[in-house]
Order: sequence, then structure tokens, then C-alpha cells
Amino acid sequence: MAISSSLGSSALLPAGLGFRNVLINGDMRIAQRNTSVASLTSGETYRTVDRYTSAFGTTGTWTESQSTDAPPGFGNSLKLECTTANASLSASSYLIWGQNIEGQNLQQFAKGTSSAKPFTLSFWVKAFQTGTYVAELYDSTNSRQVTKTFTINASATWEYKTIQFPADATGALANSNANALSLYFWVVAGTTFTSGTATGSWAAASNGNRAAGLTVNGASSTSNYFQFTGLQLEQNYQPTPFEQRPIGVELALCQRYYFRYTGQSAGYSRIMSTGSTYSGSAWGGVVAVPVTMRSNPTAIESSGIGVTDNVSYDSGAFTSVALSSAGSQVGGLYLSCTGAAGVSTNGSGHILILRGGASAYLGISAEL
Amino acid sequence: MFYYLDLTDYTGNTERHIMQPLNDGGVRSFPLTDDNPNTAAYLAWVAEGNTAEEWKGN
Repeated sequence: MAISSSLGSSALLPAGLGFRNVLINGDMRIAQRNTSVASLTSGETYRTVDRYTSAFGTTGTWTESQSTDAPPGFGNSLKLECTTANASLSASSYLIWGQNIEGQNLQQFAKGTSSAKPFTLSFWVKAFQTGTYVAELYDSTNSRQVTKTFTINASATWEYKTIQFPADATGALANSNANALSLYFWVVAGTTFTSGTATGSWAAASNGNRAAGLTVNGASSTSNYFQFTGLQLEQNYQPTPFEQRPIGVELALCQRYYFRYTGQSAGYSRIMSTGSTYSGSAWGGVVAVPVTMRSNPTAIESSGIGVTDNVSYDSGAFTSVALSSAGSQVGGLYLSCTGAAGVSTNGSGHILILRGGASAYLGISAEL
Repeated sequence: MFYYLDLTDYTGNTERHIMQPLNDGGVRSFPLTDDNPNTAAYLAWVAEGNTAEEWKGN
């Protein structure tokens, strides 16, 4: 029997049977950096669950974590908990979180053409404070934005939400490895971001419109928390069930942007690479990554990195570890390290290690 | 809080790196170049009137 509707048969079918979800780690399974970070008051960066960035400004104090509380069919959620309230927001207050998406993963939306397709978002949310909140798509290529509101109806209850952002015939998304589109959720916003109009249509970016329609101060009480999971953004006319991807696939997708070597249990050091000294106490060597990264690594995060010149000798931790722009490529990075004892003779070989203990790590970032 | 470190790599090229202590005792570092996505956050911090001191290690 033929499938048809007023929109045509294509409206009933997913736009591709696999990899419909352009968001990575939508079920919040992977958290290479940390599972919980407390005392957050400012700054925008990646903190816990892979691929999600959060930004805080004059909005009290928060803890971000990967929670194991999740609706049926999911094992994790991303949780934001208010630990110090700000009941009287300033104009510039904000708390937003979301994901930046690479342009070459977004071309199916045909944005900026007469064949542009809508963006359909679906997700699960649970919060203490009911009310109306804002989801935003921000086009970094063309500085355009669109917002839609969603309502949390019941306190402390998992709710499934769907939102359709309209197609946009203006402004093609860059077909490159750069950030082209961001999905943001607004939990807290001062009047700088709420004073405009929530039109639900694509328009040139305007701060006043970004969180217009947000009726709640999400930082009003230390009882407040927000949990999200099952995020899916797809090119389709209707939301489809969350795309469950194998853990190995999802992890590799995350590692395109960030990969972390972690130390072994206490008393054992983990070998990462070999290299040699090249100038005084400086050591250099290539550290491999498991997948081709989005770009040459742009930053590293490290703790407890040192060297040994045989497997039984630990020269101590370096005082500085940095990546070399000249030597780093998408398939690995060249580290320049200084300050460890026992690294003194030019040309001598040393093994790079994460010094004994599970708390040591080397994180390699090519994040958007 | 940001610090700076001038580091000569294996090619002999000296490059300024920005070092940022993390909550867990680790350190984030990145080359201070115009095209590095982390540079904007450092420059915003400087624009607030802050000045980076030289990195002396953990």
C-alpha cells in the first residue's frame, strides 16, 4: 500500500535511515573530561558531558554533572544544579548550554537555498521549576538566529518535548570543519537577552531576541535544577525516535573533537609515547590519537605528565606541557615539555608517561 | 586566571602559550595564535583589565 499524506510521502519518512541526528552524544553517555564540576560562576567551556559547552554569567553558582537519572530508554542525563541562587538578575545575566555543530555535517538542511528544510528538535527534560524556557539555533556563518519556547509543565518529572525550527532560505551554512550552527538552551537570562521579540522566525542575530519569551529565573533558588537527555536535531518534518548509536561509534564521534588519555590505578604509570630531549630540559614527541580529529589540536589539558628513560625510573612531572603548533596534525600532536628532573641531555630518548595514579591525564582538544 | 609561557619547540620556533589552571589541578594550554578558538576567551579576560603573569609551573 502506498504511503501518502498531504505533504507527500517523503514527509512520513526519516530523511535517511541512519545518522539522522546531527547532535553528537545526545544521550549524554560519554564524559571523558569529568563527571561533575562544582562552583561554576563564569566562563564558557566544555566541562563534563562530551560535546556540550556551558556558559555562566552573574547567575549564582552551579554544579554541572553527568547524572544517571534518566527517562526509560536512557542511562544518563546532563544536570545543572543551582548551589547559590541569584534571585535578582542583572541585565547581562545568563546561563546557556548547548552544542556547536560542524558545517559539513549540516548540508542536508540546504539552508540558504530555496530548497531549505526545517530543523526538528526533540529531547527529554526534567526540572524543579516549571515555566517557559527557550531553545535557540544560532547560525555562526551568517550571524542569524531563531528561537522557540518550550514549557516545563510538571516539577521533577521527565517530559518529552519536540520543537520544529523553520527552514531558512537565507544564509548558507559554511561547508567546512568550522562551527556553523549552535543549539543553545537558555535557563537564565537578564533583560539584555529577553527584551526583544520571540518571533519563531529566522532573523539577523540580536541579543534582545535570543532569550525572548523566557519567563522564569532559573537561578532563583537552590532547589532549582535542570536535566536534559535524548537530544536529537534532524532534517525532517516530524521528530523520529531517538537514534541509538553503538557506544563505539558515539565515542569515536566525540573523539573527533576531544580525546583523553587517563592514568592507570595507583602505583602504575601509563606509557603514551616516546620522544627525545632537544634543548636543555625540553622534551618533544608525537602523541597519537585514535581518530582523525576535526582540525589540528588547538589545546591540551594535562595533569601528572612526566618521563622515564627506562620503565623503572620516573623523572618526575613536567612543570609545563604544551602542544607545538608546528608539529601537530589531525592525526596526533607534538608535545613540548619542560621542567622534569632527569631530562637534560640533548638527543636522549625518554618515554612519556602519565605518572602513577588514575588522576593523571592528557586531554587533546580540537573542539569547536 | 591565565598565565603565559614562551616555549621553543623542536623546530627552534619560539611560541607564546597561554596556561590556564583547571579546578581538578590540571592545566589547559594553547598556543596564542589568532586562529586558535581558545584565544578569544583569553583576550576577553585581558580586555577586562587583567594581565597574565609568567607561568612558573604547578
